[in-house]
Amino acid sequence: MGNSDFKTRIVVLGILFSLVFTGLASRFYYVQVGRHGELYGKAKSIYTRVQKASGKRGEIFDKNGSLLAGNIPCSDVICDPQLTGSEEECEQTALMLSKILKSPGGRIYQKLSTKERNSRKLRYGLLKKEVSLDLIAKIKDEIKKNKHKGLFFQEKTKRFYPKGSLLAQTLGFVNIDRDKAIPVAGVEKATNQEVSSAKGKIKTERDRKGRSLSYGYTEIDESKNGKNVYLTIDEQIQIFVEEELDKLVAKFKPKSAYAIMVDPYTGNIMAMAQRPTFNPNDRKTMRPDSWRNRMTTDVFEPGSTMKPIVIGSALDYKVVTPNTVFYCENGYWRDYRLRDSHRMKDASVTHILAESSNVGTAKIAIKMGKILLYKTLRRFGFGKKTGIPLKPEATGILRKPQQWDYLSITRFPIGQGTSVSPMQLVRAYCGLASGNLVPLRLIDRIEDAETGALEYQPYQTAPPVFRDPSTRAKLITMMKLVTQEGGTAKRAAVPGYEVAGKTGTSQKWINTDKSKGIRGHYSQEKFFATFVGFVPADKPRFVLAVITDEPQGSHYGGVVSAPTFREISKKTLAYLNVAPKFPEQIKSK
Amino acid sequence: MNLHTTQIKPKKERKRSRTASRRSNKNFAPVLRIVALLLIVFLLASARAVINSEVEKLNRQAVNLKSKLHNFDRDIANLKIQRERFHGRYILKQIKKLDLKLCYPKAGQVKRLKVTVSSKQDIDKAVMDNLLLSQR
Repeated sequence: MGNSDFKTRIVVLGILFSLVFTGLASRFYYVQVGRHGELYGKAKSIYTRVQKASGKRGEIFDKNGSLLAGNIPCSDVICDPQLTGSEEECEQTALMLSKILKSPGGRIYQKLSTKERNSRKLRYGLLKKEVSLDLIAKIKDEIKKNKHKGLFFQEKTKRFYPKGSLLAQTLGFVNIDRDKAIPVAGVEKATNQEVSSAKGKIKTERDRKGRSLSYGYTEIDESKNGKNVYLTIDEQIQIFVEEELDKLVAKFKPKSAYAIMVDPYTGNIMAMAQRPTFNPNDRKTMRPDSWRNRMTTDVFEPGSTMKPIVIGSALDYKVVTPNTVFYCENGYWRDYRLRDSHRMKDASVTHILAESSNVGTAKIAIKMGKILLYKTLRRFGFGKKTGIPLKPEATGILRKPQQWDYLSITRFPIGQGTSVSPMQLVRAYCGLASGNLVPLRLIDRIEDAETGALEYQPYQTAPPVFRDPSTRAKLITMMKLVTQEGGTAKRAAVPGYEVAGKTGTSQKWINTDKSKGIRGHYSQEKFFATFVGFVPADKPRFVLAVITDEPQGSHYGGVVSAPTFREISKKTLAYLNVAPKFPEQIKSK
Repeated sequence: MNLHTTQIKPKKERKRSRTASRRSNKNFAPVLRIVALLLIVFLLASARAVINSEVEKLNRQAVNLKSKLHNFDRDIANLKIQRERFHGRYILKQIKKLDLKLCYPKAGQVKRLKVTVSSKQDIDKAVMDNLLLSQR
């Protein structure tokens, strides 16, 4: 072999090595630099573990901190069919689970034993959702004892209403869609922004088995708990109201019934209840007509409960005095086709209110005139929203004077032809009781659960409803007579206290139905029986409205709703420790 | 007879030359250095392994404790809700069911405590006096 041959070989080998080295270097560059981002991301996703952390939804309390809506821990029971063992073992596991969970064993067995579907191995089977911790503990004990295999528990929390149906329509409820809470109604919906929690993430480096490395890189994006909401509701008073409403429903079997109690000076809603009701924890029994909050969404013709507002305004504008006498047409006013339940000839304004004369009130309204009457109704909040945060809220129907016909001026003051929501009626009576039309408050304060910071919902200034402050006292004196001997609501009288109020018995309007050949008319069988009042009359602690829709047996507000008013008031006054004006009345009873 | 004999001489001990000794000393130092270095590396690695295993152990304990705390939290939340369930209306139902004949106090029957003293002992005494008064 010549020397030149050797050199050539060396050169060729050198070139070859250089080419290989260049190739390797360029590949190295391509992998390390060119695809750095992509490959680094891929590698990182393999050795990084991401845990989702979700905060708790804020809780809802009454004004004293009694829990009304909270979160209860629970678990989904799941299985891995690849680990559940033989058919016999699956059978035993299914038997144990069906006993504890009270679910059909066949369905559980099927989930445990179906190991393949469409030639794909199944690794997940949901056996039962949202199982309570007590049952989970029982299942875990059984697993330990009898060595059941392939069962797992997925921890979660669910919205829970510990008081069941108490305040159900006001609280509303939440639907869960893929771990996301969707509020449907009530306070849950109104305060969703505050109550909602923010989700977080925890990123950690993991080992081969998926365990977090303690010395590895960790990135925590913390989840945030929702804020807690405190309502103006007092749970104890709410219990009184619901107890008495249940008694009313049992006795008169109405289509629906509502009761609302408000502090007339602050506008704080102390209690609000509705029948029929529902238990938000039991979805199977829930019906849309029971969870709709009729106290804010529905309207009705208020009937005679409108009279104190019109008469009060007539006194305020000096159109009449309490002693002004009107001829009440002996119970039937032919010109305006208006009838009274009690026949009266000459009656003072005080008597017109105490005996609830339609003719007398219509004559007072005619003396006031259209414009003043319309202004009065607007000033008492009719045709406007009340300020309550619950949505949707009905504004009622109050037509402008231009749209009134010749009968309107005689019908509106007796609560016919206009419609109001129960909430609007209570608010108007707050105006009578305190002299100011306060916006209603349902949410008292919002608490940041982590820092404890409190954010109070502001009290808004309330415009006076009367120009002359003495009008209120005059009107209250007249309204006291309603619950005394000779008035329409003796049954609303609370022993030991003076009650000012007004009954209302309004016929329901039946709409035109051409298919059945029915013309629109007022029903002679279907009524709203209402009583609205406040106690103690001179310095009221609360305004309470009891409204009954289509009661059976009797339809008078003084017979149906007034006794419920009395019972609720009695308990509430004792609970609030309001000293009686006439203690001897209580002792004699 | 000619006897052929070989004289046996004891081997003289070879003396190591000074230069050889110096050379071996010279070689020993770097070897020692390498050994020492390796030893340090080995020790460090062992220490790291021991520390890691300890950290792992502590980590496992921490995870255990965390999960226990988490379970306690869930239990507390559960109990809190259960307590609220057996409250208010539930108590009223039980009173009715067991016919305990309890009734709400009448208005004015419950007296509010008025504490108008400053020192703690006085407050305790005043509270006790008021309690006794309200029980009369």
